[in-house]
Amino acid sequence: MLMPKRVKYRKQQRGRMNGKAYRGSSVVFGEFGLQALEPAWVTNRQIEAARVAITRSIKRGGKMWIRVFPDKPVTKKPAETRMGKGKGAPEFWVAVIKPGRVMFELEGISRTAAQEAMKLGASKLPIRTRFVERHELGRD
Amino acid sequence: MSVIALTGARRESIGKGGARKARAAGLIPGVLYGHGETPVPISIATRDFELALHKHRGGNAIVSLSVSGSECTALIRDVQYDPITHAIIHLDFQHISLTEMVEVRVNVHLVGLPLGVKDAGGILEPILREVEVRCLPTAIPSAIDVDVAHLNIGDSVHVSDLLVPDVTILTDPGATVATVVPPTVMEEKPAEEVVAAEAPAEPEVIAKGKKEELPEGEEQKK
Repeated sequence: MLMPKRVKYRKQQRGRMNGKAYRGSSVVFGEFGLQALEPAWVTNRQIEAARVAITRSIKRGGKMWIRVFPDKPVTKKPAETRMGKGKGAPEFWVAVIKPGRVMFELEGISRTAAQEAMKLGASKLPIRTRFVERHELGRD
Repeated sequence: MSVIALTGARRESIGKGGARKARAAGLIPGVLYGHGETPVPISIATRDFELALHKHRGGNAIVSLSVSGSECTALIRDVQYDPITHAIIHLDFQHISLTEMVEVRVNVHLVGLPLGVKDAGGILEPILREVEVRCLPTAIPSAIDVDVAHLNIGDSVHVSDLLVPDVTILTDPGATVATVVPPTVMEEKPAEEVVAAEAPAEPEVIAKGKKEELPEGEEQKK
C-alpha cells in the first residue's frame, strides 16, 4: 500500500480543496489517462484497488503510471470516546485530488483496451472521472 | 508549411481581470513578443482561432497576425488549456522572420509495428515524443516519422537515426527515441505475504532539529 517512508510530522490539519488542478492535469507519460472531475481525498486503499483493477485488465502488455501519491495522514478518534484529550491517531493516508488531476496513465495498449481498463479502475474510486488522451492543439 | 491568416486586437486591460473579461466576451487573451520588441497584449476571437487552426496538423503553426492594422508573421509558441473543459485560455505568439532560423520542438511519429511487439509480445515504449530542431520557419516539419518495424525486444531507435532534410536536430544524438521492452509479468503474491504487507505501519518521523556532533571537551555556545 502506498504511504510515505519518512514524514516530518505524524499528523496534519485537514486543509482545503478549492479550485482546479492546473498542475498534473495533462497526460505526459503515457498515451491515455484517467482524469478526476471532482475534488476528493482518495485513500491509499482506493488507489491500490484501482491499480490492481487496471493491471488485471491490461494483463500483460502495456505500461502504467500512478500520478498521485497519498502523502496526507488522516486521523480518527477511537469509537465511544469523549471529545477532547487531543487529536486521534493516524488511521490511513490520502491523496488530495482536485478536478482535472490525471491520476493514472497507460501506454502500449489499444484505445479500447485502455478505455476498458480505466473504466474498471474508475469504479474503485470515490469520484467521477473521465478517460482522456494526449491533447494539444495541432499536436496529435 | 502554410501561413494561416489571423486577426487580433490590442488588449487594453491586462492581468488576471482583463484576461477573464476577454474570455467572457468570447476572446482568447494572448501575448505577442519577440524580435526585440516590447511584448503586446492581444486578444483573438475564439471562433476565428478555432476555425483557422482546425485543419492544421502538427505543432508550430505559423500565422500572419494582423493586430490593430499592423501585420506580422508569428509562431504559436504556447497554447494553455483549461484542465477540465479543454478550452483554450491563453496564447503565446512569437514574432519571427521567414528568413531567420528558429528553434522549435517537433513531434516524433513512430511508424510500423515492431517485430518484438508482433512476435514476442513486447511493448513499444516511446521515450522522446518531441525533438528540438533548428530550421527556417517555412521548413518546419509537421512531424518526424521514424520506422520502428525492424525493432526486436531490447532494440532502440536513437535521435541520430532520425533523418530530416533542411533541419538541424539539436537534441542529443545519443538520446533514445523509442525502445521495445519485454512484456511485464504480473506477480501474484501468496495470501500470507499480502496480509503481512497490509499490516498498518507508521512511517518514520524525522527528528526535529539537527544534533551537531562537537569534538570532546568543547561546549556548545549559546
